[in-house]
Amino acid sequence: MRNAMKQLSRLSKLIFEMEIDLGLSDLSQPEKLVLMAAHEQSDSDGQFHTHQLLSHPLSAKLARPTFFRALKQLEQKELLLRNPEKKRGLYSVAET
Amino acid sequence: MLRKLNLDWLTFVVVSVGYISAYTITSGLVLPLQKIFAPQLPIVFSVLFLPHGIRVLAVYFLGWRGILYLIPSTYLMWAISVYGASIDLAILSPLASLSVVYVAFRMVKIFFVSRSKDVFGFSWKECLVIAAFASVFNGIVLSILHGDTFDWILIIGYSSGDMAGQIVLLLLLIALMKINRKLTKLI
Repeated sequence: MRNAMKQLSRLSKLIFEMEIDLGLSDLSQPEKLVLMAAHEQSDSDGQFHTHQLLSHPLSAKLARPTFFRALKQLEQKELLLRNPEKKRGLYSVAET
Repeated sequence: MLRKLNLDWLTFVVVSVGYISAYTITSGLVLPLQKIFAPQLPIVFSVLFLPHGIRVLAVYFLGWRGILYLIPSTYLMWAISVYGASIDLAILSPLASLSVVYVAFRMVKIFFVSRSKDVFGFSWKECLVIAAFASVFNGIVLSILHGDTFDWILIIGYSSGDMAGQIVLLLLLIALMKINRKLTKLI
């Protein structure tokens, strides 16, 4: 049961990556880059730190205000979730 | 037995439902349209074979276990539509089609991914490369099983139908996920 859910989660991640990569999502370019970087940097629990994204090749070239605006917009769209304990800079990728 | 092989019922149900649904769409919608718009093409292959996408995804995520999960549904659909409609396809063809996907999967993992982790960037691209190799192997193997020789029309037909099926299946899954997200927001 757990294995099946894990594989379905991997499938939805693959489909979501394809959707973003092909430009089929309604996200802006900075949002796409930040989200793809987040998916790549997230650990097995889907968590990542913002500093990991700031150094990631996909999002490193974005200006800081653009990066944080994209991060905030992705949070508003519920694609990235801020850590509930308000631990600074800790986010997780939402299940798609 | 199932525990020893690390198989579980929910995965079996998901994979089987996926395969049977994809096969039903192919034989119930794609093949009738193909007969109308391209009656000159042989009936043994479909120009858009969606079940190939399910085979590739199952092996991509589940490895060799993907083959075990798919054997019952592939033979069920083979018995219903191929054998039932008296289409001349060898009894080994479902097993051969599954095996070539695993060969392509191992080949891509060994030759491409092990050399550079970022060779494909994203997993969906890796999945499409596996599907492309598997579709060519499948075309060759099914052509040999069908007539004991290389029939280029059959090889090209099977390969292009499988590859088109994989691409369209992934696009259908994107559409389904978008609909699911919109419905979830409404609820």
